[in-house]
Amino acid sequence: MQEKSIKENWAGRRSVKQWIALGLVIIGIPAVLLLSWQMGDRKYYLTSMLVLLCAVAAFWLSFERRRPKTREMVLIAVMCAIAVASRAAFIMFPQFKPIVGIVMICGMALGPQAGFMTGSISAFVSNFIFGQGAWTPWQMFAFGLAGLLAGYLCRAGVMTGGRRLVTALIGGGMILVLIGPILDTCTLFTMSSVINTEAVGAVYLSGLPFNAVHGAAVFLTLLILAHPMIEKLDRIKVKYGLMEAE
Amino acid sequence: MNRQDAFSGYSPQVNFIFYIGTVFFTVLIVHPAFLICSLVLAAVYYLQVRGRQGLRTIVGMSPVFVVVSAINPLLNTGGDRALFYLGQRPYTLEALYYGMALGCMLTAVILWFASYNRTMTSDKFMFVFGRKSPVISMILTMVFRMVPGFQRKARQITTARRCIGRMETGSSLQSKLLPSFAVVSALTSWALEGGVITADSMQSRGYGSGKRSAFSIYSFVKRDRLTVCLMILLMMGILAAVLRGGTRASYTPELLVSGYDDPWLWIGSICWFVFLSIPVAVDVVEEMRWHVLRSKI
Repeated sequence: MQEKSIKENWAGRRSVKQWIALGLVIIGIPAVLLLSWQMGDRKYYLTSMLVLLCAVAAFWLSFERRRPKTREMVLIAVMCAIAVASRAAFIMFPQFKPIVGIVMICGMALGPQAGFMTGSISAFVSNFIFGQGAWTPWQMFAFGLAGLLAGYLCRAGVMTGGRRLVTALIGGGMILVLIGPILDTCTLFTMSSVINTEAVGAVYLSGLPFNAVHGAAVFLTLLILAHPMIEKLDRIKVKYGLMEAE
Repeated sequence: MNRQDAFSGYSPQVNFIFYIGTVFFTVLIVHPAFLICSLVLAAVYYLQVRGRQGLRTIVGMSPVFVVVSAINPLLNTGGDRALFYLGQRPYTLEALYYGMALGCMLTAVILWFASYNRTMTSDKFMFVFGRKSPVISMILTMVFRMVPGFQRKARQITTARRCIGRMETGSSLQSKLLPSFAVVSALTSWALEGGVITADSMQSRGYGSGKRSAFSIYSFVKRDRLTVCLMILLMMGILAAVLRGGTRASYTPELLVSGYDDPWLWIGSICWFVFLSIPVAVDVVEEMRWHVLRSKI
């Protein structure tokens, strides 16, 4: 009896959140773009930040409305915490950031949606430790995107735990050509008054060495950790019957 | 120096609305008066939150300002008052002003975030958003709790491995990196098993079987309500000034900054100044009241 009323309660909430998530993407993003087009001159940062927040919020809401099982929630929380805490294991290498690598592994093992959640949440939480700033929405989106893409590429059979070198190369390359430049775009929008070839070139070129180091860290993380960690996650899934379709 | 300032003691919603408004308008308005106002008050509030230590951070911001200002004319060649030429490219005064405005904006936002990191702690953030999305806030709460525990566990594993001679065996990069990966891997095994137990325990204690309540030590009292009303009024004033063109400012290709003969600029900048000085004023008033109370004894 009680259970039934709870279920109805959830169902009601589900549809509302579903509509909000859909509304954010279909109405929110174009509205922001239109508004900024009306405002004219140099609103790149504000516009892009609002668009990214809409995108992240849509993902979070659609996860929320799915009513994930307790074990799934805890598993994602554990993976986020590992991604954030993993830097503690590399104290001797302050520039070594394995966090996106672990996010990608999570996307590969648990699916694209869990990958996005892990990425965006761990970026958000790690900024509570290293400091929030204008870059937070960008990092949340970029890290989430890394997990999402890794999840889809794993489904397509391109990035798998078995093909270690290919997986690691794709992961490192993704940082170099996609995730790093997304983060550099944040710098571009906050620091430059005009968007022209010189400004774009200057920002992306100066970001290249950092992205290369970051990409190398992710490459190594995937090369060494992807196989054992995916095995562990699979084992947990089999052992306790997690994340299976009902 | 971890003095709790009076504004941090207000309801988290008040803090959050203040920071949203501050960062939004600082990024939106490029009028020099507004930017300088934002920068100065950001610095004052940061000093109030951090005490004397904050001075070093603020001084440390000045290279950022100089670099952003100086670089802008190299990228943006709009404007006709050239200071000098670099090859064929003019280095114009207008673009330099634009760069200074951007540098001002950037340093102001960085300083506001510096005090944000002090005042909006993670529990306050959870209080603002927690009840609106129970699943996400549950995950976030768990992650906030797990991270310090995992870091501690990672250090324990490292120590244990060092005891049996499995850490830092050589001097090459490879022999230094590989043990660290082993630590992460061991941490994962431990954490996943623990996570499943946590989940089962949550389930058997009835997680998800009813409407979630949320613990909080924050209350929304009269002064919070008054502050929110004041902030909304001031933000409407600023928005009106923006829409009326009182805050118009463009630098390149032509310097067009609305002057103080425009009444809307007066309205906008007074609203902006009052809005930004809320935390500082609240703190100063509190301090004065404390002195008065103490002197009566």
